[in-house]
Amino acid sequence: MADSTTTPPTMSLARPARVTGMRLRTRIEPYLYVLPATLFVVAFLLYPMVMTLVRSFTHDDGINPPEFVGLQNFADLLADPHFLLSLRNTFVWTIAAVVLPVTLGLVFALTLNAVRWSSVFKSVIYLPATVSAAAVGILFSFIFGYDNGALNSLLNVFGIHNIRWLFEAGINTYSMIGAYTWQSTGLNMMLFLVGLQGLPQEPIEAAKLDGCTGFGLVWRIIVPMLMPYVVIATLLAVINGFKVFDQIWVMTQGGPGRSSETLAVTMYREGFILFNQGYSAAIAVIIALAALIFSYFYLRSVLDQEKQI
Amino acid sequence: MNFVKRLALSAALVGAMAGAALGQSVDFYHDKANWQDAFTSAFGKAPVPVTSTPYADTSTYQAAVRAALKTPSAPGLFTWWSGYRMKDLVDAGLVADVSDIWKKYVDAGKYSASLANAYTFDGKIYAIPDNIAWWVVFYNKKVFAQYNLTPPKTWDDLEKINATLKQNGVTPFGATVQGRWPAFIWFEEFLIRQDPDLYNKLMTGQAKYTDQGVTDMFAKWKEWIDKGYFTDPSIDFGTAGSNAMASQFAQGKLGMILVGTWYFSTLTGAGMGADDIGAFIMPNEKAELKPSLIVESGPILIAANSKEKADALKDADYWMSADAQQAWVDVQDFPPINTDVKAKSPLISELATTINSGGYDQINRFWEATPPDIAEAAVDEIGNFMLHPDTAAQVQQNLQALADKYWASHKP
Repeated sequence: MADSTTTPPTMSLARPARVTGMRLRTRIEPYLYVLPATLFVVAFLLYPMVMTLVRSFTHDDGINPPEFVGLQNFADLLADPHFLLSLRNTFVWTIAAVVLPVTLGLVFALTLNAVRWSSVFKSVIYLPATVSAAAVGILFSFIFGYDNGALNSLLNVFGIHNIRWLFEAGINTYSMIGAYTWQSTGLNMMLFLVGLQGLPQEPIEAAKLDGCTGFGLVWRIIVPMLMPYVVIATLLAVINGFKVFDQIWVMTQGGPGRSSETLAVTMYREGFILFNQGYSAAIAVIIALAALIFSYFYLRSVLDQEKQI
Repeated sequence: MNFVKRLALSAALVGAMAGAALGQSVDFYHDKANWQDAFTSAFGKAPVPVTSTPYADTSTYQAAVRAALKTPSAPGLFTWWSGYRMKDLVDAGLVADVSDIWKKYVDAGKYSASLANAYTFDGKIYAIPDNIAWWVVFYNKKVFAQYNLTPPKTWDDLEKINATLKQNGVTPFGATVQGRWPAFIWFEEFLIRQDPDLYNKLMTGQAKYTDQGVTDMFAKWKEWIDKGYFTDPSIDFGTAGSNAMASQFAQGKLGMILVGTWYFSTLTGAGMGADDIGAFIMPNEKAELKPSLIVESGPILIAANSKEKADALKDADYWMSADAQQAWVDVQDFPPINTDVKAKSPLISELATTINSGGYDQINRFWEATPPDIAEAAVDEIGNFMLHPDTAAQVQQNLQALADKYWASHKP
């Protein structure tokens, strides 16, 4: 009895080695195909993410060995008025990034899709999207310049005194949002145009036959059919709003007096100007969590709605 | 000698030469991309060839160097910032002691020992000078000639110049918060013209930003702002593309700019002829004070852990020689610091004569004289004052809060 239970069956031992090797190769082969991509993801995405999370629990100046401080950085952030202002500015940017470029992009797409000879207008509206955010920042620094900026020169014609578009705390964030809207409306418009051209015509024709035209047709028929594109555009706008950095850095460096900082700018300033890299990592974690949580609930809500439909 | 032996000998020779060539090069990192050709030229005859690597962005540069300094692959030589901005590197033992190089040149009378003050910690010197800039007032000679003005000898002279220019529709001085850091320019200048001792104590935590002397300084500054002696503080300074300040100076709408001597090339680049630009050192508001001026001292450091350290020290020695310094001054028009070196332009030459013969105290610039944790936040507070001059008292409180927070955990 003992032998029959402890001795392995002789069949498996007799299995030809070549067959076993081939089966093993067949099982391993798919993993080998994805291995390079996996290594890249681990090295360039997962590892930095984990290291950032670990660093957020330390005091780290990049020179001396990091010191573990637990949740101290996160507690300090909540008591830091600059962080709270930065958080507020980030929400303003995020809301504006959704409301302005997405709405304007949709309006332009709906308008130009129904207009003949509209390709020139489409190109003109889209062109700013091909310019980098840093270049847009420099361009609008000229426009918003105090003494000889184009905008103030124009206002002077109407007797309005110069305005500090970029150097007045209550104004500068909105000035930069204006520049951002100029740049990013075109991309949203193109996204919606692609969506409009792919819409099935039958429901639209049926609605027209039933007397639904004009704004009613757009609001009740076309926009609901465009919802997948609206979802994508909104999601991208929110994420872009959360991570906006380069334009602000070029135009104001978050100033004056840190009044126009967003979370990304605060993170950069703490990490690469003041070398409070643990504190900076804590901000990075908060940005990532906020974007992740929003994306999760937003997508879940939208998908639930689609299931109900 | 047969063929095989010849071949073996040749291979050994080539190998030795290649090894020597690979070992004999010193990496030199810097964040002054515009100076790349000048560095290459000035290091041209260095005993060990120097390979310069410019970084376009200062923050990226700092992060890259700080990360490399702990390893043997750190660059042998790299530019940095003096005073408190290099202190953390010194404290962490990441930069080499170059006191012996300084001793050689100072003992020979080629350098003033005081130049090393900004690089000295606990009696040891940790850098050689890359560039020195004097913070002087550039003035438009044509504008001064038009209104029969001459460079001021006293504070009263300066006040008369300001009044004259203002009456004639010319803004006397440029001042800006653009780029953040320029906010400290007038803070330090007003303070050293009233009380340089207070300035020095303030920088090292031995005085308070709420002291009466600082209040008096802000009052004088506000008086000038209210009189319209400054441009609007949002004027472009060239830190983000456009440069309205230099343009207005070239057009004669702005009479004077207080800035480092390195700004001279910016002004000529804005359309000013070099002969149309004059320079003078600000007089003291209190006549009894010793003449002084703000000095910006940019250092080159040697990485202590770098495998190139020995070669880098040889090149550092060469850099301080008259040969290298003359080549450097000839391409950059910087103030000469080696006594055997001659200034390139008449403007720098005249300033050098004035400073050397006038017994001027050279005071370290705010940016390097006080810890970065304070300086970085302080420029934002000072900028708030410049934009809203009625906030001086609150700004003083905020500045002192910054100082209190830092000095509570650091020794003054």
